[in-house]
Amino acid sequence: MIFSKVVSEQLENYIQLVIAGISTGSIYGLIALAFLIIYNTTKIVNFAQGEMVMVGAMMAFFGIGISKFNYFGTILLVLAAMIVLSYVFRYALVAPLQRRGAPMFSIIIGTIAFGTVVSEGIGLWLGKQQYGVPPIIPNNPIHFLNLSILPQSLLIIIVSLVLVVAIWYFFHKTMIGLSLRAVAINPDGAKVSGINISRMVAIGFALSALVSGIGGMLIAPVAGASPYMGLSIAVKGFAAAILGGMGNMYAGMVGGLIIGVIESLLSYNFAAYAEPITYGIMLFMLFVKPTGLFPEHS
Amino acid sequence: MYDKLASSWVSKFVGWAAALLILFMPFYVENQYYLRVMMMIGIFALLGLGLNFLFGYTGQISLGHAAFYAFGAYGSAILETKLGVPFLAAWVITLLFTGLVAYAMSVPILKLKGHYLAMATIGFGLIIESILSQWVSVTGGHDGITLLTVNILGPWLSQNLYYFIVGSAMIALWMLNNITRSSVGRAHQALRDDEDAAEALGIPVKNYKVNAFVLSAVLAALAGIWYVHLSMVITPEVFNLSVSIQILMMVVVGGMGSNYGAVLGAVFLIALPEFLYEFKDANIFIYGLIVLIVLLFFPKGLIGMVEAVLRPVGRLFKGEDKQNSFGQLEGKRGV
Repeated sequence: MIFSKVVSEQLENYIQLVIAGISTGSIYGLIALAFLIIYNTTKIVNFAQGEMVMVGAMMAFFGIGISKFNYFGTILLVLAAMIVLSYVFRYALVAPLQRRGAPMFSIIIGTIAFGTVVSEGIGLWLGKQQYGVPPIIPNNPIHFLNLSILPQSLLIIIVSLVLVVAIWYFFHKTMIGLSLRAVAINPDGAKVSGINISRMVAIGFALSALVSGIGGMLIAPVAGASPYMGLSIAVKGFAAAILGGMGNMYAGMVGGLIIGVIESLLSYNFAAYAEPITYGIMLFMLFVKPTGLFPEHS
Repeated sequence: MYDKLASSWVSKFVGWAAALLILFMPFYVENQYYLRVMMMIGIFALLGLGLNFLFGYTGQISLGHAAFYAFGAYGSAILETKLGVPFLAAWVITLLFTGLVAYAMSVPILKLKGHYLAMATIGFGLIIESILSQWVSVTGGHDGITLLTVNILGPWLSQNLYYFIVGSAMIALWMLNNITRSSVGRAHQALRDDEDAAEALGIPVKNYKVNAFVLSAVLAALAGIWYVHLSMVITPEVFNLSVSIQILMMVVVGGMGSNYGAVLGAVFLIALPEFLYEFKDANIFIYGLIVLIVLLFFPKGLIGMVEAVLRPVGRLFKGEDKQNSFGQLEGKRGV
């Protein structure tokens, strides 16, 4: 009897860890999704994706923590900030570089420099420290069987899944989404068919920024908000995208969940090496199968 | 373009004079602070020259260069303080070890291209960074390693570290100038511009990429060795991802694909905070903005601007020659 109790306690422990892993993994998946929206519509690799998440988190802090907006107002503020950011990103950085026909490396470095400027700028504005952000819903753990689950984790998982489904619906069932995919597959053909390419690219960028902003808003109550949170979170997003497969927009979510669960389980036993092992998985995947677990079909 | 400038006797003379002036700076500059800034410039020039050969000339991006910098610093520090190896042997072992690791890494990593390569090098850099902070028994974790340069190098050498650092940076510049002007250097640029075409011309693309990777790693390790003996304390924060990014930005600001550009980028990176002392908080913000402006409006970097200024001057001394108008056409440089 005692033995079985120990086993069931162990099991509960692991289930708890898996749930926590799924929750952080959904965030990684959201970042991967945002990253892959830009990559799959414009072939631009956005190394400033983490900073977009950071802006979402910091604006949530600015809305709730400093300006004492209500939650609805904060959400609107974050979404507006993300759309502005996506326009700045496009018209101040990507469009001039592309007009000049700059090589891909210049665009990569440009997005890195853009991310640095954004995070330092936010740091100058709101201060360079870590802030706590109060959760959107009351944060008393829900008890279910013998497990206790934080409502915020549940919210993260639900919102992420809803977003993935919504993005899928957008790209496969709506006219704008289909046009956007057409632009990605063949820009000239899309142009001939009367699709306004410039508008489509703007929509793609805005969509990606919105998804990352929502990711930032979700993670802020769990991990806090800081101007420098972007880089480490972006790398997890890249790892998720690579694990899933860069060519497949939705595979990033699966990659994110896998990485989140592995990281959560590892951090229970080898906390010190949980992160390097995650990067190790990314490297291994790059060396062995750079196309990812679920190669492209879209 | 500046190759032609360099071949004129005036610029040769000016170059030698400048090199001697900089190398013997301790004779006429009393201020230790300026000498220290010069040494930091030397260290970052080594980092920049190495990465520029890999990225600017060979077209392989690396966002994990601080890892090799860390190999040099931690390798020599651990050998000297914990194992009591004499310093010259420790330096040679560190450089050889870094070269070997880079060689082993280059086989899988250089198969990747473009953003895959960028992400793989980020991953590599982050793994080394976490090991530095987690493997406490060897690396000292976040406390780092303290090293008393005087005890290891003796009083005379530690007083004259300047000549080692600045001298080695100058030798590296001279060596890379010779390499990049030779047929091997042109082959590197050819494979940067079009790998398949280069391969079709019989250039051993794979070998050259590996060579560039190993050479740039060894130069970064040398910079790390100098850094630990100069600052006498190292912590993982000195070798994190943002340092890798800074090294890359430095190459871009200086001018990709120009050795003098890499040095100029190092001067700029180290000297800029000295001028921006009033805006200490906004240092990196301003630096990031400058990188963006250079990328958007001056793709040839600072060295491109310097060349644009120097070109008429050089023409003055050389007299009119018809090659110049032809040379302007090929002035296009960069990845």
